Amino acid sequence: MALLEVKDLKMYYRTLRGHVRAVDSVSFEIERGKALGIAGESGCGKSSMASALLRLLPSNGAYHGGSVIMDGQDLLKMPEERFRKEIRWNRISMVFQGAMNALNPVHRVGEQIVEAILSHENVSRKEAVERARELLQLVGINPQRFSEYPHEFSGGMKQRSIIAMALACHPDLIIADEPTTALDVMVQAQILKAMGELRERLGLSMMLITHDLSVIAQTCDSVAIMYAGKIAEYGSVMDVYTNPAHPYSHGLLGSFPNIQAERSEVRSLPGFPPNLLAPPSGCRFHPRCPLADEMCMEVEPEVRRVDDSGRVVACHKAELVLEGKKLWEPMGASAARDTGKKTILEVSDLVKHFPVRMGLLKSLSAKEQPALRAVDGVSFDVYKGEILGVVGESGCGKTTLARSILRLIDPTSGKAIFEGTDILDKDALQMKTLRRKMQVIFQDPYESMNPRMDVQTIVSEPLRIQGLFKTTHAAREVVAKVLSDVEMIPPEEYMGRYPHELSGGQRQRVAVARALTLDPDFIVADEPVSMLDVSIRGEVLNLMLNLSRSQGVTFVYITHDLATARHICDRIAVMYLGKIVELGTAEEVIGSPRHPYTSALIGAVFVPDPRHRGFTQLLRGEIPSPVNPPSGCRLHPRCPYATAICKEVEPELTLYEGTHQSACHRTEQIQDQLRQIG
Amino acid sequence: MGFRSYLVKRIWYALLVLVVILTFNFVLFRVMPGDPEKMIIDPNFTVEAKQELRRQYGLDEPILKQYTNYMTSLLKFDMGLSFNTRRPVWSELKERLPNTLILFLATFVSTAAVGISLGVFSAANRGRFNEKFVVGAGLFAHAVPGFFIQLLLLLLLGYYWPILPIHGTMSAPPPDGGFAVLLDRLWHLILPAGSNMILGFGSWALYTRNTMLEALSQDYVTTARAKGLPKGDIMYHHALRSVLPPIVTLVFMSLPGAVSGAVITESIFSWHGVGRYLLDATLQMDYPAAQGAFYLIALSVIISNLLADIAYGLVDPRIRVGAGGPK
Repeated sequence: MALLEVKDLKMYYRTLRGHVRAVDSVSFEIERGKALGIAGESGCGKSSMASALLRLLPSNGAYHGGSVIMDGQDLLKMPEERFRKEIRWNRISMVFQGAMNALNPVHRVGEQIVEAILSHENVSRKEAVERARELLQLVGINPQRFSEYPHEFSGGMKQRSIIAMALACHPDLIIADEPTTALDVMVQAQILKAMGELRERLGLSMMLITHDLSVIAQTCDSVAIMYAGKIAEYGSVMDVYTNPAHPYSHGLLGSFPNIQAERSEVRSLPGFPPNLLAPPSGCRFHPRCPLADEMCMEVEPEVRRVDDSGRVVACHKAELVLEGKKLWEPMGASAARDTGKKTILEVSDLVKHFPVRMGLLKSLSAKEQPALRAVDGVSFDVYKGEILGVVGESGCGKTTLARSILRLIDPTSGKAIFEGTDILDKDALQMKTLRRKMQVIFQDPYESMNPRMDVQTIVSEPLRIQGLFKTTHAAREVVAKVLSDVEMIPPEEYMGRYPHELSGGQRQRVAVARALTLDPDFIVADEPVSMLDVSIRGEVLNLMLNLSRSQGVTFVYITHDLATARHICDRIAVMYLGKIVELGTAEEVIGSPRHPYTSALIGAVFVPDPRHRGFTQLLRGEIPSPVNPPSGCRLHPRCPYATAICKEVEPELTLYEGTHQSACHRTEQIQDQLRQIG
Repeated sequence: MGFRSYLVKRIWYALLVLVVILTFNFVLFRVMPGDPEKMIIDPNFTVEAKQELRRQYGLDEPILKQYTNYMTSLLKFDMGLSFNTRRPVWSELKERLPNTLILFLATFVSTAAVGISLGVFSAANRGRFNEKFVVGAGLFAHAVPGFFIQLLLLLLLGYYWPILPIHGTMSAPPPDGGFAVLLDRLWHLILPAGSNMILGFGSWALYTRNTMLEALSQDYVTTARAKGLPKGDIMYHHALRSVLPPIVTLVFMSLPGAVSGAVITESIFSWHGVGRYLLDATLQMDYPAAQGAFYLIALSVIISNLLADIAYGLVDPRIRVGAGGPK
């Protein structure tokens, strides 16, 4: 018998404009000891469902039918006080996004675990403390740190302690809501690995909610793909991933870049989820579905079986999808191409240190002002027309580097020769003229636009700043052209809109259009897709790729995401703690990494394919503070190959075959070892 | 940065501010309209007598010397003689200080208790009539001019239904017996402190409510709910506890306002305190007296700010145990 059985669950939010059908007739089961993944774009109702199971609805949420059965009892009908005491944490616990705010900042971490135990079990405080210490040990945290506060923990440790907290009362089921979303890839891999091991040891069931399909592929047994409050497809991970039957699953899986697959395999899934106040008639997916016909618009599809696997799907056209009908346009991947190697930007020995604030008295006594070495001596060339990826974990200095080469901040020292002249020597006026050629796209499409300007004003603003705004008519033409360039067609329809009237993807397109207004040669894109849903990431990346192909625009693409970098970049630079550790073509760097850090990064990237499971060797710990970086090779405290020389001598970038450069003392030996194993 | 160095820094700042304020105080009374000589020195005196008086009061010294004299004597709480009563200002203030402190403390405690608990209460009753009533009443009391409410209360409870005394700090003659005196004092305290509480609770209740609502929507409160903690634990141990730092800061930051409000309250209720003394002294151009009262008020403002900083440090572990960042 299943541990938990959800039948026809409906949960709506009351709003002034009617009901938002966040969870609408959802049914699934969770088996004892198994893991179920819930996937979907943001706004599809996944998190609402998680809170519905633990009866944690916000004040305007209400159940509209359905049942949640555990041990023959309907949890939704249980009296509140009994549910609180017997079910919450005792039977079902929850792991929240710990990097955010799931731990109370004013209470000691250990106490927050003790508190959970004491409110459910009749044990003494001493026993509870003892168990909390054991739990911390279990998730890999030194129990000595029991009495520390959340702000003294790193992101990964916070997440670990939240897992420890979830295990406190020996639950049967853990609901994990985006447990690793805000963490860096390396830490994400460490956490998921630890969670998987614990689950196996303790025989726990898990419901994992995430937008990240690769996480589900690596950790779950079955998966439910949600769309607009309903389950589109539900079955074993193997069935759904290898042979999706719903056009939405098909599109979602295809839009997810796979670092191991062919480069051309990423597709885009246009459009965005519907407003759940007034969902589309018939099949809710029909406005975005390439197979939709009249029946799909009128008749809501039943959840049905389409083959002899256990999978169910809610689609009239599932058979067509299974036959392998071509559904989604592939996104053009960047084939290896020769860009002519004409250098547009030559960065040499660029350094940016931020002074660390000290008290007045301390700064008088200190011999040397301590500095945060965000970028610490970086040299590379950017070739005309290429897309150069700069990849690294948070805190590696990639954003500082991006801002320095645009001189949005002033570097401490070094050179950045743009088309023959050093931009770091320019005065304000020269810099302003130069900015016609170099533009930027920021990470957050919400924050980077003035909410009181319409699209036309936003996009034409660079003209106004540069004094190129001749007539309204001429400006309108420029705006129309760049909007068409970013595929916002017809442009007239968008010009009068304000940012809040655009979807996230459209907003980021406007940001790209604004960068294009002055017809620049060089654009720095700082994490342009990290805040977008997976389905529309492809669109924006595709756009960058096309612009680089058709108009010869050079891009520096700053990202933490190796998989997307591999798909659109010609060359990739990997950064660690303010240094470039590896540089080469995308194929060289991803295909045959020479630096242990790059290998570890690649190993930590999850593959959205349940057939390729497992973790490669992960680095120990987390990225250290750039205020006092380790001596010698900055990776040495975490590197499994480190020897004495690594602690003392800082390795230089060395050219190997082709254009492949790497900064590692041990690269030859590591390659030999790998060859022997392989 | 440990708590100790935080504290030391705060104390240094407080001393710096004190010096600046005292300097202002010194300058202020020398650029004010009105000439002290005309107040205390009879124009019919001979030139020699005038000189003698100026010398007595130190007004013949160069301005810089006057400044240093002033600063050093303040350190010793020597505020000179009142022009009016010819008594040392400090002994006059000393008589009145306890009264002001009592009124102030009563106001402070009652306002904080009522305001914060109503704030928590209305946050817990989000969307119900109870919440709207608290918010409405708080806003109303906050918006109406203070003296108006105070005079109204005086009129209602002291005149039409004379259940409370309308002026003074105690009855004259005082009743017999220690306990009776205490009761008599409290009896006189109700109206001034109570009216101050009515005027002040609104902003605290609203602020507490707003920060509580924000805290209740935080992930850690959801975590606490998911953990199956009892409602009271969630409300007080998690939500209120986490918003205490800003509330405590507000509490202590409102102290200076309460001090200056004392001038009005003490005048309306004829309270024998420092505030009324300051008002009288200013009106009569009794410079030493006014300066002394100002000094005392400035000192209390600075001390309350310092207390705010210390309290903030105590309730927020991020300040107490080092500023941010993993070790």
